[in-house]
This record gives sequence, C-alpha cells and structure tokens, in this order.
Amino acid sequence: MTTYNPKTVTDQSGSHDPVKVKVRHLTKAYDELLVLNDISFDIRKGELLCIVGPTGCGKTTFLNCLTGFAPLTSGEILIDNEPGNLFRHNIGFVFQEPSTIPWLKVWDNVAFGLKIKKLPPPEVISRVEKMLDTVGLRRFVDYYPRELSASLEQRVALAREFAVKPDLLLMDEPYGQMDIKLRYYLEDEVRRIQMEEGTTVAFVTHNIEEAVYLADRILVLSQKPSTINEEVAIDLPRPRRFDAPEFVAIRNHVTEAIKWW
Amino acid sequence: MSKTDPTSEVVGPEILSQRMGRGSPSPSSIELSTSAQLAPPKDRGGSKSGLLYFFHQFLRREYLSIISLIVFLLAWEGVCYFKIIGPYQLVPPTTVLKVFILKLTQVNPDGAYLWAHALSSLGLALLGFLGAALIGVPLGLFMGWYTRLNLVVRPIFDLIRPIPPIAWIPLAILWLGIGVKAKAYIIFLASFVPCVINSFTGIRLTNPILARVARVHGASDFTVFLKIGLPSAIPMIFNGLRLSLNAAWTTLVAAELVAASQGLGFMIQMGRRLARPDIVIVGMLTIGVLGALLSWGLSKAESHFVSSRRLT
Repeated sequence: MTTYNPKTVTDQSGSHDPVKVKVRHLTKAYDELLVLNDISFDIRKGELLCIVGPTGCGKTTFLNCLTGFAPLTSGEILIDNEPGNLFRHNIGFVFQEPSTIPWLKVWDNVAFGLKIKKLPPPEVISRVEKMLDTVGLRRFVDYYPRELSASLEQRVALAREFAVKPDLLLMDEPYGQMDIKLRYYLEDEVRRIQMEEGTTVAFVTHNIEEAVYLADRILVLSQKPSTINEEVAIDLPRPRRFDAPEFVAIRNHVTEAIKWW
Repeated sequence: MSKTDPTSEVVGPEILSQRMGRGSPSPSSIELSTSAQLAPPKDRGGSKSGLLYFFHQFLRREYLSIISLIVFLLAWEGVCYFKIIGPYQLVPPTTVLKVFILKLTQVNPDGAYLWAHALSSLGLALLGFLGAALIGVPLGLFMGWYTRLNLVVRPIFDLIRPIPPIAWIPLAILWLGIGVKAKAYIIFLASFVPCVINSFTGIRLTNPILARVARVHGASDFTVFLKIGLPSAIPMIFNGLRLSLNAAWTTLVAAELVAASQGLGFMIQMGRRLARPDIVIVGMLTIGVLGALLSWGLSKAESHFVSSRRLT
C-alpha cells in the first residue's frame, strides 16, 4: 500500500503563479457565533482549489465573504490585489441552492449574466448556444425551470455561470443534486473550461473523492470556529483514476485530516 | 490502509474507464422523465337507465351552477308573483329584464340612459383606480426595496390606512368641491391601500439568492430591482390590483352620493327616491356585471404577464 506524505504548503510566496485571491486574517462572526477564525491563504491564478470541511464549518460563508455578500468581521480579502468589487471583477458563482430564475425560460436563464454585463447580442447568442450544448440543455431551451428536474435546473445555473467566462469561478457544492454519471461528466467539464479559459476556481464540496479528483490543491477546514487544518497540494497526473494507489492514498489522507470526531 | 477501498465497490470498472477516456457520458442522453400517466376516465353512469340516468346527467358538475341560478331566479319570480313581497319593495326578474332593455333607449325616470350612467361610473372608477395603481404600485415597490423610504413613509401610511374611504367624503368636498375630482379622489383612496401593501409584500418576497445571481455579475442595486425584484413581485402586484379594482368599484356608489347627476350610484339613489325598486335593481345588477367583467379583464391581463407554467 502506498502511503502519502503530504507536502504541506507553508511558503505562500514560493509559487511562480501570480496570486488571484489573497486572504489575510479573515475572521467572520455572526453576532456571538464565530464562524471563520483568522484564516489566511492564497488562491493562485488558474488554480482549482477545493475547500472541504465538516458541514457548517463556514465554507459557504467564506464564499459569501469573498463576493462581499457577507461583510467581514476583520481581516481582508484581495482579488487581483484590490478589495473584491463585483462591478470590476468578473466572477461566476454557482450556488448550492436552486438559483435559476423562475420567470425566464432556460435560454434566457443562461443568457442572464451576459445580459447583465451588457454584452453585444450576437456575442450573447453565440455563447448561450455553445453553453447549451456543453451542458446538454439543447432540448430544454423553451422550458421554464419549474418544469425541470433538480439536476437539469442546476445545469442551467452552471451554464449561466460558465457563459460569462469568469476569471474567478466560485462553486458551492454544485453537484450535490446530481447522479454519478452526470457528476463525472460535469467535473470533467469544469476542468476543461478552466483549462481553456484559464479560470481560477474555488470549489466547495463535502465529497472528498470529488475534491481529490478535481483539485490542484485542497484546503481542509476544521469545525467551527474554522481554521485551516491543512493544505494538500495534489500533483497527480490527469486524468486521474479513482483506483490508482496514489489517489486512494491522498483520499484517505484528506479523510483523516477532515475528521473531527 | 487496512480498510477496503469503498470506491472500487461503488464505482464499477466500466464507469471508471468511461471516466478516463474522452468517451464521457453525453449529457443529451440524460432524458427528462415524462412518464406521468393519467388513468383513463371512468364511464360513470353508463349502465344506468331511464329517469335515474337522466337525473345523474342533470347533476353533472357543469350543470350544477346553471341549475342553481335557474332555481334562484324562479324563487325570486315566485316571491313577487305570490305578493310575498310587495311591488314597491321588490320586482320580479322578468320586470328587471324589461326595465333593463327599456333603460337602454329611455332617459326616464332618472334623467339618463343606462349606458350613459354606466360609462360615467366606469370612467370615474377607472380614473381613481388607475391613479392609485400608477402611484401606489411604484410606492409599494420602492418601500419594499429601499428600507429608508419605508421608514419615512410607513408611519404616515399606517395612520391613513385604517380610515375608511367614505370617511373622507366631507373633506373631499371641502377640498375639491362636488365635481368629478372629489369622487375620483375617494375612489383613489380606496384603491390606493391594497396597491401599496401588496406590491410591498410582493417585492419583500424576492428570493435573496436570485438577487445575488444578478449582483455577482455586477448588477447595480437598481438593475437588481428591475430584473429580479420587480418580476418577483408581479403575482402579488396583480393580487393588489384585483383588490384595488374591487375596492374602487365598491366605493363607487358611496362616491356618487357626492352630488352626482349621472352614474350607476346616482341611478340607484334616484330609484330609491322615486320608489322604483326596478330601477334600483337594474342599477345594482349593472354594477355587479360590470365589476365581474373588469375583474375578468384584469385576470386576462395577468395571464399575459404571468405564465402559469412557472407557477406550479
């Protein structure tokens, strides 16, 4: 059996890749409840960072702090070396909750972000059409979200966020609703889109296998009040195989790191 | 590493190999299940015969409403025919119909044709209603969206809200005289309140996740209001408009008490003064039918805006 010796990442300036997101001493408390406790890390440009941790450890809260939906209690988050600004930074966010817009048909849902960004109509059409094929929604363009299954609905949200070609893509347990076949397919799609566009991705998941399969680096959070238990860099070659001994070793290592009981 | 590998049990080798290569499952092969099958309609009462079958057919749902209406009219006619209620209190439906037709071409005894009364009332009610909708709906929406505006307007609104519109009549006459303006103002007040409250509630029900979807792509607060808040509120806005229209129409008679020379409310008043229950009833029924038509028109407009497919 292969054992895994993690290269714990301590020197954050050691990498050659420029930093996309810089998190310093991030603390977030809701009244008395301390959720994130003095967290510091970087997300490098073009990196796919998976964030794992126990349920309720503040993974979603972190994403909300990053976009400014939730004000920070203290510390700072810099995107491209400046405070996050939704008007300037091109961010995509795949929510955990259903986030399709119920009064728009599938086509207009996918076009929603592009229209907000006021892209020229021909560009909107070409991007939407391409995305519909990518996520397999071609047959459903004239449906309303309520007429779709949960997994189809989530694909609409994915297509909408992919279509804006964000340079920072935040995904909050995006594949929780999906069956294994679709999940595998869309995991590969995220990776492909990320490589094509050079997107930086922060991917929150509770599925350790998914994290090891996708991530360049995994951030393991502890239980509330959350700190970083460990950062695990994964340099397995791609495509990765679940049954490869190295894969299993890393997966087990992350599982051990996440354990709070 | 003494544990068995769970993945090798969960994931079969063929899926794993699929995962590896370019032969990933195509998303288009994942179909929407639409296998909802309805049971075939039962052939009810098919074996029955004679009178019983006839009776069964009669009590089928589509006939029930018509039957109840006919029974009601017959009872009404009977009450008058057998003089249970005298002709100066109530006239039978046949007379009402006669007077209705007569009033289309005759100005007596109240001074105007029926359609002139109806148009006058309709104009008045719509004036008040549209004014209330044009001011009340945006006010409610903005109050719901901008907390500060709500804090400023709310106490005044809450103070005025419980005052019945009819209580405004004396002030309305003092301020606006006894013309169309005073009457439209009363109707405006009556329809204003439901517009504001329902629009307010509607926009407050906006799903915060949807607002975030817009915000994350750089939408300004006003863009979020237009693209997410307003569409979210539309069902409740229409709810408010329906209540408003109702309020406008029911306040009509009260408003037309304010020195009118035309209008259905005026016609009813004249009918009372002249001890002509036929005129009163024709006026009342015209108000009822027109009110129902207005509601119907509004729900037509609503179904134009709100697709039933997204409201399940």
